[in-house]
Amino acid sequence: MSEWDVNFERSERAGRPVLAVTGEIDLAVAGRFEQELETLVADTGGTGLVDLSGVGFIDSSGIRELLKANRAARAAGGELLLLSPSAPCRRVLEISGVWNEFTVREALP
Amino acid sequence: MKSTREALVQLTSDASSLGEGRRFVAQTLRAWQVDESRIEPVLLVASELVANAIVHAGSAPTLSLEGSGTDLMLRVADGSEILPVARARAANEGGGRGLMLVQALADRWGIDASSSGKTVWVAFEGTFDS
Repeated sequence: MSEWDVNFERSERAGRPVLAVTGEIDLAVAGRFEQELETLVADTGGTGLVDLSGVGFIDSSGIRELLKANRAARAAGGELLLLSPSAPCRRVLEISGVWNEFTVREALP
Repeated sequence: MKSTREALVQLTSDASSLGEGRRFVAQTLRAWQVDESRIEPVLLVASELVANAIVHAGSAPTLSLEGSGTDLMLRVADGSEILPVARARAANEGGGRGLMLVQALADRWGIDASSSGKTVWVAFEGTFDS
């Protein structure tokens, strides 16, 4: 069943807090994703990194949480940085028409 | 001329049906030797429609796949007459974004409503090409 699970892991990279998401983001886990993103934004006072390289699937509920967190981060004077989004994740962001609303980093400086 | 293939799963109204529905779609289409690149959009559409059925209609949906010729037909039926609405107005809030994704990925789609509920169907053309 692990293929269908999701895992959230917090770490620091290059002195910045990072939330790494691995697995599948759908409506069933959107609430957990929302909480993790809220905590990340709160902890960083704005600019937080979300590592999406391990996302095998994301639907509109996951996109909605990313947009919401980005708005919250901007309101706090920062922004949500998306780190290395996986191909499926990138495609859903593009099809949703929100790709340009995010700053995407392929690697940390 | 390829023969018609059908597969169906009855899901529950629980959120775990989302993963179960995607697993059913992936396993069925792989068994039908559909190219991986053509499976991904079907997974997304199935997940969005099952989510709509569970959340907005509050019902246990039936998910089915039918291959006919080179086309794939996906159907999600539920016992609610409440129809999904794509709300472009709310795009930034994400409400209605799911159905917008369905519209973007489908070659054709529609809703058949009856007194006992509705079926949202989505056609993917050329799924069984090559």
